[in-house]
Amino acid sequence: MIIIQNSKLRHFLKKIIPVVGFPAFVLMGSTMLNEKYHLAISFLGALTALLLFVTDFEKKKTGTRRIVVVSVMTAMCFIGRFLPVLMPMTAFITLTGVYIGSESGFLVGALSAVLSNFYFGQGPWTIFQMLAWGMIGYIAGILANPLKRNLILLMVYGAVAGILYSFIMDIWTVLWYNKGMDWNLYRNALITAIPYTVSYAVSGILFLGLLAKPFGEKLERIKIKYGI
Amino acid sequence: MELLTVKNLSFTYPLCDVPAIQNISFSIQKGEFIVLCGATGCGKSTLLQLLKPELIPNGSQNGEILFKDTPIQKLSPEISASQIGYVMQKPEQQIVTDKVWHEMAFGLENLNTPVSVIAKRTAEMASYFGVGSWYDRSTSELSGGQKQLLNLSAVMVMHPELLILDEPTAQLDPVSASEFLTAVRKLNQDGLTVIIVEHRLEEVIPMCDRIMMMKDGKMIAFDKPEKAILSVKNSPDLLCAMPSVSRLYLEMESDGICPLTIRQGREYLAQYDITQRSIPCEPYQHSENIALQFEEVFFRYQRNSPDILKGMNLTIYENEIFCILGENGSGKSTALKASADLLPIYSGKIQVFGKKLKSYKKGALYQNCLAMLPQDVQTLFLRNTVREELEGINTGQLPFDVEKLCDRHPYDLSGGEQQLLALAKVLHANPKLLLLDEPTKGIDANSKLQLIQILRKLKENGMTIIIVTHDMELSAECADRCGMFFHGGIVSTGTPKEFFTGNYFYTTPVSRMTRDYFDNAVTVGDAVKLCKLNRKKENIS
Amino acid sequence: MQTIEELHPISITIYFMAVMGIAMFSTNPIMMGLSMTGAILYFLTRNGKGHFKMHLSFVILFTVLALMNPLVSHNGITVLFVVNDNPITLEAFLYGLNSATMIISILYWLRLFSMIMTSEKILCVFGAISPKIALVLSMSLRFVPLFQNQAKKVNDSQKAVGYFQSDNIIDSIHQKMRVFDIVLTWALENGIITANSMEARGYSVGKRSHFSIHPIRKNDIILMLITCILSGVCISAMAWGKMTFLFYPEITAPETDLFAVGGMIGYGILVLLPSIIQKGTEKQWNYLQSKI
Ligand SMILES: Nc1ncnc2c1ncn2[C@@H]1O[C@H](COP(=O)(O)OP(=O)(O)OP(=O)(O)O)[C@@H](O)[C@H]1O
Ligand SMILES: Nc1ncnc2c1ncn2[C@@H]1O[C@H](COP(=O)(O)OP(=O)(O)OP(=O)(O)O)[C@@H](O)[C@H]1O
Ligand SMILES: [Mg+2]
Ligand SMILES: [Mg+2]
Repeated sequence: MIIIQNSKLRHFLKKIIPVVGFPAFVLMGSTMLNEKYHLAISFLGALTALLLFVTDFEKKKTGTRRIVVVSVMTAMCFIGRFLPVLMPMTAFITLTGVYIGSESGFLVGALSAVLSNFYFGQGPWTIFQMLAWGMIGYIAGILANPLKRNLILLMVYGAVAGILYSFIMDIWTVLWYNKGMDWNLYRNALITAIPYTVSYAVSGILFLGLLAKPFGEKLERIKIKYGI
Repeated sequence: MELLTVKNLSFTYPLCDVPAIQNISFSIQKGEFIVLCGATGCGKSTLLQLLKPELIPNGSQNGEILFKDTPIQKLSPEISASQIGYVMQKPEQQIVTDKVWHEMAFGLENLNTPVSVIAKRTAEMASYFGVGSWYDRSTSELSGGQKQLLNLSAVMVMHPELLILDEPTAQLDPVSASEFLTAVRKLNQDGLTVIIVEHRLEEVIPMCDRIMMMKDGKMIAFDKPEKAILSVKNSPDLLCAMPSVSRLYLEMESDGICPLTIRQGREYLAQYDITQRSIPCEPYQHSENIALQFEEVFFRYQRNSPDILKGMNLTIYENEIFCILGENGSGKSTALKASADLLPIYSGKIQVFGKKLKSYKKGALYQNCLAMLPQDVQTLFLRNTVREELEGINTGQLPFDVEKLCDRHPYDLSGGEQQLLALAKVLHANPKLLLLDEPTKGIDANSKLQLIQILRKLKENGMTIIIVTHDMELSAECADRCGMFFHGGIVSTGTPKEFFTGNYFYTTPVSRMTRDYFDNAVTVGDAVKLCKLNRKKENIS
Repeated sequence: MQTIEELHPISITIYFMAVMGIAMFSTNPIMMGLSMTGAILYFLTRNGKGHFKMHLSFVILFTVLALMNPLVSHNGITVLFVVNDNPITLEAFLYGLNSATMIISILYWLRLFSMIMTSEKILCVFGAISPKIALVLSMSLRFVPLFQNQAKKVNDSQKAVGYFQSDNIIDSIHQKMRVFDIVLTWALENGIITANSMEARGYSVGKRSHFSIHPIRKNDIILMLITCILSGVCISAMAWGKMTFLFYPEITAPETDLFAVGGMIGYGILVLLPSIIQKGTEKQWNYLQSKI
């Protein structure tokens, strides 16, 4: 990211690479190249996307308060992951993205994956979880304005995010097991994961519906009082 | 050399009409030890924050602050971070990382100090403050006193020139508080300039060079302690915060040099020809009915952690005020929570008003029967303004004025104001048995006297009150009986007069000062009475 | 002599990444077997007996994973039998077995990895990549127990002044929401104080250094070198296609030449290394103890 001098272009690229570039990269890799490279490619892709982000974050001067709020939300996500059946993580990540910004959304998503996996088991899947949750927060940040204004839209976003998360993680499951994409296996994986997918979607709707207002109020207060 | 100069400083918080700081000017020499005192909410913390560039709160500020002749806004970030050290009011909140060693290294890491230097400096400070033995523990496992020491050493590794401490000992037991202040004192003697805010002035005033008193955002005195105390002789609300020795002296004499230390107090008492050694007092009579009873109670937090309550036995009678004293982390709050049925004891029996805790149906225990003021009062606040928080409570009946705070957010109140607000909420529950966990932490001496009045009145109305506290004065003034918590249970009980006369740390300064002269003086009032009963020796010289 | 887990977190991480990475990207059954043997041996030498439940769950998972492939995938030419018009092939079965071995061995390695790498060690690794991220993680790690305690405290204090009395479900959900609400307010407000405390100690002044109580020692460098050399041999053998093992449509093993054997031996040594060091250290320790 340092090489590109034009700041607008750089900004544009930074937005476009994780949202469009990465999926396209993986898709391309999985259709055009030999099957046995799928896993390696998706792995490398995910890793590069994360590293790109990390280096960028490392260089930028992020406000201390923002960093602390990100840590607070990451810890909240981790604790939320212990809830039985329901999963408030997507809701927290979305709200962070919407109210504090894309970058914070991404960080909370990615870091809560690392953090909670200290407990739920670290593995190669951590990288994909990081990316999936990170994207949920990142995109929420990009769509912040409409989502802030319209609660229904926000809840829909939560549901879609939950479903997408499940779909992405299933791709990974198949890739890992099979070393390459196999649509048969993928269909099966999706079917076995239906209860989870449903619970993710429902949690998204439920928690966003419940939390959007109080959460928004609190963050607004902090913003006014301390100026994040 | 002048280290710090403040000229005509005023400060107003946003959305407030009254300035929190009004037109303050002073200067501090290098190497001085300054004590800052004043009532709750008078602006002490605000003033201190203004002295530390990174902490200046949002609001409008007038006036000038010079650190070594440079305006503090113009200090380079490295200088201001490393040269001005600041330890905040609450020990827990300022810890940043999860390991002790990392916390200590944090400041130096920020300044991009080479790793070898960090290793050297943290090692040195850790051994100086005795942090070494828990260097690789998690910060969340530390006791309150340890946390405060950690904060101090994490600031000291940066080798500051000015150290600012905001009520650092508010939650420490007498022994730890004394150790903490001794450590600060030693640093000061090595040349560090110290500004400290305290409500418990007994120990710091004898150490300090000058004392600054504030009232409603203004500075009303800034002088050597002897002189400053004399200058507030006629305002009882400020005088009551001063060391007991000085208060005793000022009650008895009208002029002369005011004594500050216990030793000077003894020298003063030596002038008396003592014939009457003790105040006659009737033996304490408690009521027949038992309000709270612990029988062989055992409790631990986790299955394989050590017992916190180890066969605790305790009987508290109706309509008495009982104070529990003891070390940090010994389990006082735990015992209090157990009596409020908030913790599952695994063996033994707890009875409240003759009934087992279990036989109270859900909620019945908390309905006009028992209420508890928690140690962390912020856990009581639910709403966005103090007004909503006090909904349904008749603010007129409260012994303190909360009217002017009504439109604030509870988290914007000063430490002492939060304490008072919480107290108002608990009193509203109107219980028969009131449990208070450190009710006077962060409260100024005058509000404390008011609180003592309230407690006495509540007792007259038939309430039983149990107080866990580190405040010896409070217990000497208002308790019927005191108990020492140690090793998982109450090891000794007695009326304040019996209890305090035998101890060295867990005792009031008056008792320490008068023990060679009087038998049972524990409060300033007692000592004054006894002095009046005795006559001064004829002046020989 | 130090066991693997006493070494520097970065060299531990590199070691595990190499072992797991090779296992994940290889299809060769011999490599899978090596990875599995190494993992189980290390697990047993390190943890001794016990962990019965974990082993059992891995055995069950292994069976399920191994049987799943032939049921869904019908590639391969050697049909064993036919179920519901679907041919079950030998190739698919072996492929499933191979994949299951890979997954379970990696699960064992991961279990070991998380046993060895405490959160503090992980932070040390993150700190080398990005001190800022390491700090955020370290703070979150501190917040987690803090918030849990606070939630309990809030619940207790509210109860003890007479709120939350009824116990129907709606009320108890309401109560949980309220506790959450308070904890969130508290967390954010206190977070700001923490931020102030960071600023007060010079955070955001500029570049940060990263202090760690783990210094890199000679043994760490030795381990890193060994890892690099052995996995280098192995990876180049893989890259040259010397270890490619095809299951579909028909099982085809590559010709075994010296290069492939070298790669396999290299990987074999790599995976057995921790168990050997562990045993060696124990022996040495026993010997030293006997002299005390
Ligand atoms: N962020 C804020 N917004 C508005 N008012 C505030 C804010 N912080 C403090 N105040 C008010 O300013 C006054 C001074 O507060 P400060 O914290 O300086 O008091 P203090 O002297 O330190 O009291 P204590 O001894 O109780 O800690 C108080 O009345 C307080 O309510
Ligand atoms: N929720 C908890 N989980 C585990 N241990 C705890 C918990 N709360 C307290 N402890 C431990 O129990 C012991 C007693 O704690 P408690 O809070 O009762 O002390 P205390 O006497 O009130 O101290 P202080 O005067 O500092 O308030 C301490 O060692 C503390 O570390
Ligand atoms: Mg204050
Ligand atoms: Mg306590």
